Amino acid sequence: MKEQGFFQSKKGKTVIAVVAIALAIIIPLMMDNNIIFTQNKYFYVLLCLIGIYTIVTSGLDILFGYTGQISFGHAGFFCIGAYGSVLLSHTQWGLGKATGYVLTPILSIFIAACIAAAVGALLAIPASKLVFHFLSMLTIAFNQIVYLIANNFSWLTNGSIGITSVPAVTLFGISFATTTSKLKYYYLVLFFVVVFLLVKTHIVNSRVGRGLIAIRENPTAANGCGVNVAKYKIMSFAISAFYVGFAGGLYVHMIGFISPDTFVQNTSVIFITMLLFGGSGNLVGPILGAAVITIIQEGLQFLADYRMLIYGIVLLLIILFQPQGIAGLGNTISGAVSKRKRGAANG
Amino acid sequence: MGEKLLEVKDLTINFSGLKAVDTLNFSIDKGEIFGLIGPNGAGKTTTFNMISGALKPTSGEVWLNGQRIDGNYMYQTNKLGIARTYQNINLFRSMTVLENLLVGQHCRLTCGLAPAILRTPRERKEEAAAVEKAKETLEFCGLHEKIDVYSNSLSYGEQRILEIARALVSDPYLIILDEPAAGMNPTEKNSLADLVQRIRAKGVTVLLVEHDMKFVMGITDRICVLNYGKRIALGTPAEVQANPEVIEAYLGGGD
Ligand SMILES: Nc1ncnc2c1ncn2[C@@H]1O[C@H](COP(=O)(O)OP(=O)(O)O)[C@@H](O)[C@H]1O
Ligand SMILES: [Mg+2]
Repeated sequence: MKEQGFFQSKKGKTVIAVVAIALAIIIPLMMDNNIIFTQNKYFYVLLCLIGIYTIVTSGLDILFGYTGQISFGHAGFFCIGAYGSVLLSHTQWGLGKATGYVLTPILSIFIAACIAAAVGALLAIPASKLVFHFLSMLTIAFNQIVYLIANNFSWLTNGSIGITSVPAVTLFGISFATTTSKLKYYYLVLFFVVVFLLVKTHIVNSRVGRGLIAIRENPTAANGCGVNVAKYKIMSFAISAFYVGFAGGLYVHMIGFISPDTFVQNTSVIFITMLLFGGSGNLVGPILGAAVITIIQEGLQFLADYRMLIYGIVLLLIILFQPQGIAGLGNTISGAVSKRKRGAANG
Repeated sequence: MGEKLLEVKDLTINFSGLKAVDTLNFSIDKGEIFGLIGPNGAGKTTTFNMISGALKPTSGEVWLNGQRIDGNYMYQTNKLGIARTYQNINLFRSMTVLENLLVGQHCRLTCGLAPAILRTPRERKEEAAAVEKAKETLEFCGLHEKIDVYSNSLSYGEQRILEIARALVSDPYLIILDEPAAGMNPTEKNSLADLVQRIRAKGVTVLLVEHDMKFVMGITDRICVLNYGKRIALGTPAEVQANPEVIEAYLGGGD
């Protein structure tokens, strides 16, 4: 039976969501006014990163957790969103260099995310016919190609040196420059996190979402039930790429600088690690995964490349012992407890 | 003779040299319960796969309501009015019974991505109606008490009924059942026979494959017998049972 507890009910979930959003708004504000903790600007950067990676991981979840399609190349979409937005908004590069006109950063992020979605759809046309291991290879190759373009097309991207002075986001006359206030940018990110999560719940609980889940569960039966499997896989890739592309844009306008290094294959592996660690196929898992791995990632800066080794081990342990991720810990624990109870009753 | 619903003309498929189905011809009238029988490996499932669009025939044609449908994909055939079950149960295992029936209505629902994201009033109304329709169908099939149960925790017989319900909920002209009674106990088989009769009474035409001869003979109007991909008999249950070639195919065994 589906669990019927208050927190599993629709009302309960809404209450949790509202409380979580309220806390996400209030706590940083209190910190900014020195009511709790001490003021530490870096903390906001960390919060922004968690928000941005929550969008990434949620987007990846639509593809992996709901549609059952793997991608080891999502850093490629992150790259397209990031470079795309820079090239559309920067006065000295891309559009600005060519025409003298630029787009305002939120619009540039949106359009770059649309480009990422279009590329995702194109990639999905061959990908929709592939099974797991070939899909892994295709997406790795895609990531590599995007990285090489960013690294080698110097006339477009300034190559490995990268592009500085990425313009700040301005909305309705309010500047979200992170040089002046990181708290404001955090609220901007939080706004988009809420929007993207809401859209995700709407999608996965609709006819379209059921089509995606049906493909994950049983592609033959999905086809027999009228789901155009190839089309839905393409749609899933495109939606997923839009999420990740948008997050790439938010990322680059926060950092103010872009270079190809951010978008290497390892970044895709980190995305997958976040998702598997947090737990896929639900709303909360990607948030938890993004938060925990981002904190570990920043906390372990000093380990440099050894971090990938740690992710590898974490991934292995998760896959072996906690396939539902930390979001599923509750289930695992209650399962273990009830098993013990049943054992006691039998014994 | 009633009006023809499905026509299968010279249907043939070649699996690297093996003619699994060989110039097969039959037609099904509206409102009929039509049986397809034959020994294991005779090509029954393969025939179903070609009718439903899971396989493209090498040659030959399939017509539904005067429209040619062979070579379509399954999702297209489903929309045109053929729904099916599978010999090896193909449920959406980690979905509930209700969710399985909502997916079953996919081809009859119209809301795409934009109405879903915006949760438009039209989308909500359509979803609510789909839930109602699922409930009605579950009631009809006798599975309504299991509506919130995950489909993988149903008993084997219930899973077979759920597959039928999921097919039925798409309002097909023709429902195709591949060994629906397999693995069922006698009580379950009886209520299945009753369900199939009631499905026909609703106006849905039934095409089924079944090994249980008592079941098939008791329920079908006409039967087509396959052996090595070829039709060896076609007629009423009594005619087919009296056919020497059929007796030979079933009793003669491997040669
Ligand atoms: N996809 C396939 N590729 C190759 N051979 C197949 C395929 N599907 C079925 N066959 C072969 O076709 C024959 C008919 O199979 P099938 O239609 O499943 O028989 P039935 O359902 O009557 O028991 C068998 O010999 C089977 O091995
Ligand atoms: Mg068969």
